[in-house]
Amino acid sequence: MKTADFLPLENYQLHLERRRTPKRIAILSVFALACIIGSQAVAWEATSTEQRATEAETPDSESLAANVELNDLFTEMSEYAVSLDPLAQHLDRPTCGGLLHGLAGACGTDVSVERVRWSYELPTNRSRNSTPQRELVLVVTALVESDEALLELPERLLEFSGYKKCRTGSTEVIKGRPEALRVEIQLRGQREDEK
Amino acid sequence: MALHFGALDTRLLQLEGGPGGWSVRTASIYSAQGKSRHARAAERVAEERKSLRLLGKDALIGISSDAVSVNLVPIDEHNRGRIDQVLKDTATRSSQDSEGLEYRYLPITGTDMAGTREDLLLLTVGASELRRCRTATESLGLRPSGMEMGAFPIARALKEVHQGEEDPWGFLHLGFSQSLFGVVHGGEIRFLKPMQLTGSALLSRLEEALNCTELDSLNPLLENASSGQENGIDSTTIANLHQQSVGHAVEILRFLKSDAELLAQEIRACLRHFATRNKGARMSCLELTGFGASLPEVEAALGKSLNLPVGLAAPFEALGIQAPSHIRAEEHLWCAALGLAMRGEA
Repeated sequence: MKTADFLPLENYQLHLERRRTPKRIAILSVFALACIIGSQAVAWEATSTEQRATEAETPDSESLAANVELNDLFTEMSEYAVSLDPLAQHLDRPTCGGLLHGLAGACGTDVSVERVRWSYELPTNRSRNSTPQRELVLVVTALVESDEALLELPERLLEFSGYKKCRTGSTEVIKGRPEALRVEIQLRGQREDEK
Repeated sequence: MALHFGALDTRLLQLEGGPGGWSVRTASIYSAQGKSRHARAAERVAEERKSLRLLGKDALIGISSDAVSVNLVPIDEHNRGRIDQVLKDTATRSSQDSEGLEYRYLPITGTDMAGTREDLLLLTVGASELRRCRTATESLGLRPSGMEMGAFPIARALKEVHQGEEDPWGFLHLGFSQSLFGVVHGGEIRFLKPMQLTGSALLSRLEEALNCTELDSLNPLLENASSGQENGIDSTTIANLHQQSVGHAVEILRFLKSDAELLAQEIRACLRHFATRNKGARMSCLELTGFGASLPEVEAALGKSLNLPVGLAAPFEALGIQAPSHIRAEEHLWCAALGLAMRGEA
């Protein structure tokens, strides 16, 4: 309704503005309250998740007891370690036992294996930046009675052993046996099945 | 809060709640008359300030209708160019104040049927009255946020009662020092005019009727009745006394009725003017407010003369505003304060 106000219009407009202010404050308060409730809900959810994670990571009493028992066992075992260590030294040797079984047959006829020696060695031509990796060196010393067998022996050994490289080492004529020749074959690298 | 400086009393009203669920928070009346009534009322409000439980500092002030001169200024096409001068001249003629005059105007009708004439409602009030209202309000530590003549808040309060009505309706404010007749149509005041008959004039007529010569004839009977208390009252005396008193009451009512009919004639003239300005619009009902509205015979005589539903305004009841019993007993006197309190919401 139109009216005739004898005060300046600004007075009434300021009054209306002041009347709106509590409403605005109420709206803001409700919004702030909603935000607080929301943040509290998120905080509660985070706390419960953290608690669940902590509970999941904390070992249960059974595993703790088992761990203690295991530690006791290790302590007990440590007393016998000095006497047990030499027994386990062979575990550090290369496992070439499987080769010995068929090595004589694999060399073919006219070849008789005299000695087999194996060891770990670091490669001589390794690059400076690469990590050193041990190579298995298998040295087979055999008596060869024919030229054909001598030529085929490295191929046969490579094929049989599965090693990467093969080098014919020293050869030696045997006194009293002119048809025979002692030859040393050196195999390097790892077998395919040992990688 | 609403602070209405009436001619006889100052009314303070504060509502709480909102549209659809209002209730009275604080309501009090301070009797004070004359030019210093504002300061006296403010002193009394200040004394009771703590017990009043007032909320906020913004005060919407109501000026008594008798302090404001109301004029209808027709603006024709030929004087539209010097409208400011016309209004200023009318305002200067209508009121006098040593501190100067303030006037406001608002168009109350559109252009007439020819489209060449516009009616402006010009309200003029003395600067001293405005100063007194403002000073009294500020002395209470309140901020004057609006200052309206009583007719506008009254129309605003009653407008809510007549919400949705398409026909124009009227209100007659029979104040002690000034009475106003207004017509509201489409939610806006379309007509407002001061009436000649005021509440004080009605009261004078009533007093005149009470002091008329016929009262002298009652005196011997009353003396007989008083002296007869010791010896037993004569039944003839009682019958005569009863007959005389009834006759006297009828005479008083006749006085008031004749005045109300004079008032109705004036209203009919206003309605004719309103109808010509508003394409023959007819008023649907009339609400009475103010001091003189509750005087006997006024409501009935006006209703009969105008052939319209006439009723004592009861906005609190009609709007379902929860109010104390002393307000409910005289709702027609609280219309201005209610309209002020509802400003901005209604």
